[in-house]
Amino acid sequence: MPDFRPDEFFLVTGASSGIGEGVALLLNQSGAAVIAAGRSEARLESLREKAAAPGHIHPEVKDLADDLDRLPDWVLGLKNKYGKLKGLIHCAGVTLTEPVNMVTYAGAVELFNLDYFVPVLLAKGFADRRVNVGEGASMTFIASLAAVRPDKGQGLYGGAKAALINTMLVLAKELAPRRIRVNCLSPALVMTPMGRQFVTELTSAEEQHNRYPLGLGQAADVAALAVFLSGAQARWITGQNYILDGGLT
Amino acid sequence: MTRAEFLAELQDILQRDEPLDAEMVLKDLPEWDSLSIMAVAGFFDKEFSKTLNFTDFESFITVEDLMARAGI
Ligand SMILES: NC(=O)c1ccc[n+]([C@@H]2O[C@H](COP(=O)([O-])OP(=O)(O)OC[C@H]3O[C@@H](n4cnc5c(N)ncnc54)[C@H](OP(=O)(O)O)[C@@H]3O)[C@@H](O)[C@H]2O)c1
Repeated sequence: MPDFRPDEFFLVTGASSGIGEGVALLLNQSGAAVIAAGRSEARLESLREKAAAPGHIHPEVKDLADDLDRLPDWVLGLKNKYGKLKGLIHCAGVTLTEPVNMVTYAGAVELFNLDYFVPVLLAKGFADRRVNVGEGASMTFIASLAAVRPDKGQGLYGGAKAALINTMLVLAKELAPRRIRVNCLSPALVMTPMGRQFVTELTSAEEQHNRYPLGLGQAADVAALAVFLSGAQARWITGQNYILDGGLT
Repeated sequence: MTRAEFLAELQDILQRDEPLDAEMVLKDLPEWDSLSIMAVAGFFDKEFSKTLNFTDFESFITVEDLMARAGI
């Protein structure tokens, strides 16, 4: 695992639950300072209680879907408050399982706002020269296996995540001259609050478990790669989408 | 939502020409497949703020059972 300094600030979205919580805890354990964003103040507080170095967790209560136009300014504001950012690990997201014949425009816009436009505008904010540390800075986005191998019911969710991956590949090229790296992670089923609900929706947990040669994923499995990609040892890795699926595909 | 409205809505979700009635057995409807179940789950979530899971669907026998779960 990389070693970070406490003056290296990472913005982690979705830090109040699941994968984001796992990422925040591991970064914190690796010595970094974590700006932990989420909507629920109580859950961010409980993250702090679990942290190895609670003093280096900085909770920021924020509904990312609130005012998308001003998201880049929000990131700039964080830089003004804490200092230049070393990394962004974007884990906030929502899922939706519905067949295409149930799609409504309003529902589609809501999903794309959070799963596509939010990360794009956060990336825009982070990429600003005034916001990040420059060489050695990185962004990692949690996409989904649904982007690459969508199942029935994942038309919109998989579509938004596929769009996210595509835009981030472009951004990786645009930012490479400044030595800022951009990657995506595409997990299959991870046992977070979101994953647990998904499991019981359409199948039994046992049936899902049996599909995975290495069993279902845990938040820490995804966090490990996200944190590695944020460190100096990953200096030659950009513009990739990594599938983590316990051998499923 | 009234019972009549529920039946009309369900008929639409199942994309069925013939109307439904409460006593119909779900498994006997040719339209009752995994995709329809997914659609009905989404409908319950949106319309009644109820999350249905796999075991719920295992327990529903008739259209009436769905209405009972919806609380109408
Ligand atoms: N779990 C899986 O099986 C799985 C598989 C593939 C991909 N993913 C992706 O991984 C990411 C994390 O998922 P998870 O499993 O960790 O889900 P989770 O446990 O449900 O956590 C979702 C996180 O997103 C935050 N969030 C949601 N809406 C938000 C909003 N409007 N503004 C700010 N924050 C918001 C939540 O914050 P609050 O709790 O404070 O509301 C929470 O911290 C998502 O992008 C998901 O699509 C998950």
